[in-house]
Amino acid sequence: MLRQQTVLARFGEFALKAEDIDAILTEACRLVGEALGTDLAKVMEHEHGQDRMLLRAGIGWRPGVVGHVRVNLSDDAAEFLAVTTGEAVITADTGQEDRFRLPAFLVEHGVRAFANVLILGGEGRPPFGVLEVDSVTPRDFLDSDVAFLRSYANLIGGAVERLRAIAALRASNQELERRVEERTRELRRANDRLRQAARERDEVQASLREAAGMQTVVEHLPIGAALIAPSGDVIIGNPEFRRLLGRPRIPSADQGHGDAWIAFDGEGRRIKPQDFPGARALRGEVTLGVDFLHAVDDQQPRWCRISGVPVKGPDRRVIAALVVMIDVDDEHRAQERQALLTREVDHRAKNMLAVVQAALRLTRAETIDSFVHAIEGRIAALARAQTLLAADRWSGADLRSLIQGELGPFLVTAAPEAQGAAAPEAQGAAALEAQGAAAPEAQGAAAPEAQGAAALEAQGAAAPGTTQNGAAPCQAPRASLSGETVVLPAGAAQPFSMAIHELATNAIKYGALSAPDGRLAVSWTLDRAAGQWLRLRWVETGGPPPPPHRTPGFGSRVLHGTVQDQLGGRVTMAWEAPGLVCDLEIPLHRQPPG
Amino acid sequence: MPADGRRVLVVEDEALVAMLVEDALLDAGFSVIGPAATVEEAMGFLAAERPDAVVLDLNLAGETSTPVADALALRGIPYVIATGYGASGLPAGHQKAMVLAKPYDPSELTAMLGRICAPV
Repeated sequence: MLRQQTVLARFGEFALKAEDIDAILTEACRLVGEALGTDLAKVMEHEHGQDRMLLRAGIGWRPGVVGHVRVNLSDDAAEFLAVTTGEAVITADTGQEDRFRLPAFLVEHGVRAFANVLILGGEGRPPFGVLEVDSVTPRDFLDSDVAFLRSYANLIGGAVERLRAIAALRASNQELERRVEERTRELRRANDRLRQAARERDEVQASLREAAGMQTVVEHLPIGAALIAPSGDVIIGNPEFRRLLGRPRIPSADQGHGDAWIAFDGEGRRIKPQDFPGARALRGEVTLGVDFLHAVDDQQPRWCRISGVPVKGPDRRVIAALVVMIDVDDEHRAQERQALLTREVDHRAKNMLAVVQAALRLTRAETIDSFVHAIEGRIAALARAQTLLAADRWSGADLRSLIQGELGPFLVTAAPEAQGAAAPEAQGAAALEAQGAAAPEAQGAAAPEAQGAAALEAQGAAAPGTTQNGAAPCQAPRASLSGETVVLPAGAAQPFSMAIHELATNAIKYGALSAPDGRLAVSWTLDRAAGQWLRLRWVETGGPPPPPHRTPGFGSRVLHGTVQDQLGGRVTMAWEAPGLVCDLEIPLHRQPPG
Repeated sequence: MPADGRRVLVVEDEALVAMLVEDALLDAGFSVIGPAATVEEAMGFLAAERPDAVVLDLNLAGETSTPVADALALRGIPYVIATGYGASGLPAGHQKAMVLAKPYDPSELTAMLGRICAPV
């Protein structure tokens, strides 16, 4: 008894510490065999859901038995009795036993007696199996032996149940860990997805910002750009494009909107609407940088440079046209102006050459010197008109300045002290004549500009004997000008200059300015009532008498040619007793500007 | 005289050039009508009589003499265009006209007129 209780206690300690169910069961078999003095002991485990038991652990059995042998829970099995009755099943001598049949392995091991008790399961659980001691010799089992077996079986049941609980706990823990891990993985995946989404959103926002930036650029480009639908409608276009296009759609080949469009190419040919770059792009053609004059409704037509490029979809079909329009009107107008100016300058130069050539060919003289003088005088008269026109940006020439340039030396007061000083070359016919003919009268030495002013001053003061520069008394000017300010139109300046030059030349050679006491008075009025007629009177006095039979010379021919033929005016010449009186009447409105 | 007194209308606004042309034509045996310095005057002369040939300056005091050239072409009167613009500046419809580039030698003009005047 004591030995049995000691075995129980030792097993209890072991079972509490052990964690391996097979170790517990084997140790249980060893101890219970020892305690009861049997050669063999075993634990049969009821396999759940099956009507059989497995020899789970044992002592004294041949190899290949423990863990392998199974016993069917049929009516003739001792285990079946144990399970169904819950009581201990004892056989003192298998030879006398008729309640059940011994399984083969027991017979093979020579088992002659055995006792088994049920190992109960935990609360609410089926029995774990059966604990059995087997003896190879017939023997009796005392009640105390059975009680010991029962106690032992209960300890086993407790231990098994504890391990089961631990295993269940462990399994549950593992499941929990598995689920936590799974959940963590899911969270990580979700996190990754969120990160990816955030990255994509950032990228989209960045490209949107970039697009917004591009749109701002496109909005403010000085170039019109638009996408055009196959219908010809503008899908999107920047403000410059809308301004240049002037309507919501472009003309396209199939829409019949062409009549509202007027455009010409560089050669002035009308461009058909279906040949516009936009319409061509919609047909799949690329047209780059075509300039044409394009009119929107009643507005002034403007030169535009237009390009059209087809935009193709995934199936290579044209889905839209990209049309770019640039306003090149200023560029074109500047080129036109430049070409016109170049042509005009060229034309004027050629024209002037033709006039100079004519002057050369028409001039007759007896000596080379006098030929040179005559030619220089005429060319100087032409140049004077050009100079005055240029100073006034070719809008016109001041009449008084033109005559002053011709008669300069005769318009100033002559100081005897200053005798012999030659007038500058620019003084025109009078100066040349004075130089060449060594005019008996002394000429002023003042500068050309000052001379004009001085002449006017002297004229206004009309004071003979007025001193100049505080020197000796001066002689009054021999020529006088009087008249209001008249601007000769650009086209009249040159012929008028020629006419005055011929009159002056004649006066210096044969008329009043050829004699010491001769005087010349030039006066003019502008008759505004009759379409701006200039009426100029040239009066010579104190000159030599005119030759009795004057044939019209070159001078009067030029006078008539310029004033009558060219300017459409009239020339009246009369040789009175005191000298020549010439009336020039010139319509100023007749000359178109330039 | 090869010119045989044929009448030539001179349309030229520059008085000196007109005088030179006039002298050259007279020396060569032509008789001169004009000169006309404007389109209006030229048209007046053409209305009064039919010249055998015309010397036409393209630019008349800022206006183009194209209307005169048109009238001459219409009436079949031969003409020579004198211009400082050169042959490229000829008005539409007159690109094949005889051209004298200003400044020109008067003898060139008389030779050209001699060629274009219809034989008597």
